[in-house]
Amino acid sequence: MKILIVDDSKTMRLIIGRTLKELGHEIREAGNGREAITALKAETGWGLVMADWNMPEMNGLEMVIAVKAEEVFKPLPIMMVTTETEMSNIQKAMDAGAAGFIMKPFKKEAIQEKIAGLAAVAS
Amino acid sequence: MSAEITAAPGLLEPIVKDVFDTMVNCPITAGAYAPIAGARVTAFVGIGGEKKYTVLLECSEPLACSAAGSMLAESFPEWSDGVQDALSEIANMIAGNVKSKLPEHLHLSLSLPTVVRGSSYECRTPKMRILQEAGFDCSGLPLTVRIVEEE
Repeated sequence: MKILIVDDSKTMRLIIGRTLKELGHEIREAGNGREAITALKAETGWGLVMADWNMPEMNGLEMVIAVKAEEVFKPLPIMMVTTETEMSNIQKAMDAGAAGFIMKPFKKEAIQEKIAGLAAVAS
Repeated sequence: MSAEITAAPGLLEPIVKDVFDTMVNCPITAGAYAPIAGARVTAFVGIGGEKKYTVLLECSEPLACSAAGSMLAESFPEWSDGVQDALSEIANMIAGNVKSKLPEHLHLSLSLPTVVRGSSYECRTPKMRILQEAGFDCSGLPLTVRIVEEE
């Protein structure tokens, strides 16, 4: 699966990217929501977006809203990877079209389980 | 004094230990506050809304390099952008988890991390007071985490 990792922290992109590569996925990276939208439009065949919440220029929630406004990306699942646990904010992201959350700190098994869960829903 | 945080004594210790055990891959033990000698680093993340807090993580430069190396399974023999980014992310995770323990009605959000580095500086913010302070030992080196609140 081709996965876009969106995080302003290179550290998190490296950690998540390594885990996804170990699981056999192909990855691309973006440093904020705006870069993510550019990256998504530049290629096809996306299977998943994994996005941080707190980013400069365009945060994760703004990115979910902008991506889901594009008809072509409506079926694309977006997983938020965040420390955000405020129910009202989680609800906002889910209402905007996010498919789920991974809370930081996380073990790599959590990423594996969440992706497997998304795949099960998709099938 | 902030009722939300003083009502949760020992808030910092499990959060910091969880972040270091899970993401930094560097076990730490709680200990007494110990002064940090030589070149040191302080990472700040603000938590703002109905109240204003700042989470500060302070350690020596060698510990910052060691923690970044452990987190990324790479060698960082000296300070670099990679070390700064890793320390920022550690502070961000700690602050985010502190925020998650505070009431939602405060409508809090996190700032982006800031990192200060040097050998002779003091961190002072007018009208801020320390609510909680926790000292840790990581590979024999001291680490301090504080939550301060604007009065």
